[in-house]
Amino acid sequence: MDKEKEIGEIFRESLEGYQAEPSAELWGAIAQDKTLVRFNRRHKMVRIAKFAVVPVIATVAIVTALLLSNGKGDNTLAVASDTDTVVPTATTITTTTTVTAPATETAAPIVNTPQPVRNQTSIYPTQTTDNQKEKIESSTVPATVTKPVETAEPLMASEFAPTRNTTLPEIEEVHRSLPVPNRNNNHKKELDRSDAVVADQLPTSSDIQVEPKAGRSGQLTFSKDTSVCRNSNLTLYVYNALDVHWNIGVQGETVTICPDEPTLISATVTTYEKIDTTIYIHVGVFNCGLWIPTAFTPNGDGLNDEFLVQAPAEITRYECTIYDRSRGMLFRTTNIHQGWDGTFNGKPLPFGTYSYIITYFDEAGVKHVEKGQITLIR
Amino acid sequence: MESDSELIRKCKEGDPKSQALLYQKYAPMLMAICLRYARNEEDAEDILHDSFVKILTNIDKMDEDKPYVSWMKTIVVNTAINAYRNKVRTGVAVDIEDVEEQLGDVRIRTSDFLTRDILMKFISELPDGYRTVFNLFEIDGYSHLEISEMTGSSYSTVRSQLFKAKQSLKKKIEKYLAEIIEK
Repeated sequence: MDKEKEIGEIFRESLEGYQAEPSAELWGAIAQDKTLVRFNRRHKMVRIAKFAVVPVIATVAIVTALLLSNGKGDNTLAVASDTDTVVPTATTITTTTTVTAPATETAAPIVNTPQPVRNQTSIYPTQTTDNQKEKIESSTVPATVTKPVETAEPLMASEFAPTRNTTLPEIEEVHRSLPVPNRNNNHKKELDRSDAVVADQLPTSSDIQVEPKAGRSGQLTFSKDTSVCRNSNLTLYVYNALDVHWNIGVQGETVTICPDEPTLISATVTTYEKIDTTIYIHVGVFNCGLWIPTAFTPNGDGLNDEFLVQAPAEITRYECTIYDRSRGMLFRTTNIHQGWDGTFNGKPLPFGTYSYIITYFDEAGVKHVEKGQITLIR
Repeated sequence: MESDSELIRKCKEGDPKSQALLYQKYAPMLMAICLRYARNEEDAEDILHDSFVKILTNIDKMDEDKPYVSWMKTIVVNTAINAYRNKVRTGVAVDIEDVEEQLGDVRIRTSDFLTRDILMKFISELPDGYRTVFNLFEIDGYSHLEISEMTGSSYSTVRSQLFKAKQSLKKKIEKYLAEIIEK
């Protein structure tokens, strides 16, 4: 009873094999989920199609033969009207079949065509935290993502298939409600290390809003210790004082600095009570470079499914090109929020190393070029 | 298990009955994971709901030969982390002291009074960031580096949060045991 254990071990032992029953209604709610319903509907069509293939092919053959031999006879019309309802759906289902049948064999270059669509389209609409980025995302998604989908369109847009046109929007909608692969899951090329400050959270704007902190001298308020991206602007302040002299040779309530390295800013302050005092503000710096992953695993588990670059600071004119020696350029985008799903012309590429070149301009207007390799792991 | 391969094959085809069976079989295990990561039962059910939809609609991408149970667990863990994503990464500046502190074992006396329910309660009371990191490392066995990548926090923040989580749990446990003994 007096034995001591590491706290983690205590929890592990206690929670081993822990199972808990969710509420009885939960499965009902899951079964009615739109995404799941659509998935099932789509696959049901495939199953029906597979069973229907033989009789359908036979029917098509018969109809074609009749049409060719009979011309405009009544028979033709009768036959045609009979088969009109069958053939259209059959044609398109057959098409669907050829496209999706490989799925069960998991051989699938063609089948994987929808996959990149899913992976890519699913991210953008759900990144609703940043309203500005949403617009960019939705406008660029069609640019590359719909390519694989478009190869299917000619087949599906046959004159017989009024109902099939709902398939494509369906797929897009389904993918929208798929969970967001976490963009932060990518292996980072450089871990953020700053000498003075541990920088785990990079600021989203270069001008930091700092909260007033009550100094020791009565009503005096001044900036808290803070950190910013290297070489970006930061405004510090001292309020409710008669006079403020900053150690960098500026006088006044506020001062704006652009730190290149961690610094200790101080100010000699004369309070309203005519007392002289010194306040100190420690300013740290983050390295706000791009986070470029070194590897990714496009297997649909929501973890590192894409090669996605992150830019914590405001950068402009971003361009990312991925290529390899044998195939040339595989992917290109000018949208930092658009990742690469590991496919080329709709086909998934094999395990291996691919190269990238990324160029961008930082806040100061300085051009940066990053070159490196990314490993696609399957 | 042979029966499972068949079950999964049918789930890949979108067979509702098989999906229900898969849920029946694995929901309890996955629900336990959700409860660990969530703030409360309601959140846990939301996470399980989202996870299962993901599982069932992506199962056709998954290779039958690969371990599907860990695949399902990964999806649940990722969904859980995403649920509190914004909360995990709070804090712009971190105190310098955090970087330099000793990050070692946290030991406590074992006691029969520490039931699973009590321990689960203490876990759910932790702040989101601490709870996530504690679960990922101590219970689900991810490395610091993996946790750093999954949560978007720096390596040192992960270690720091883990240590703080354990200290917080230790305080709760000691306080609880002291109160029990008094009675």
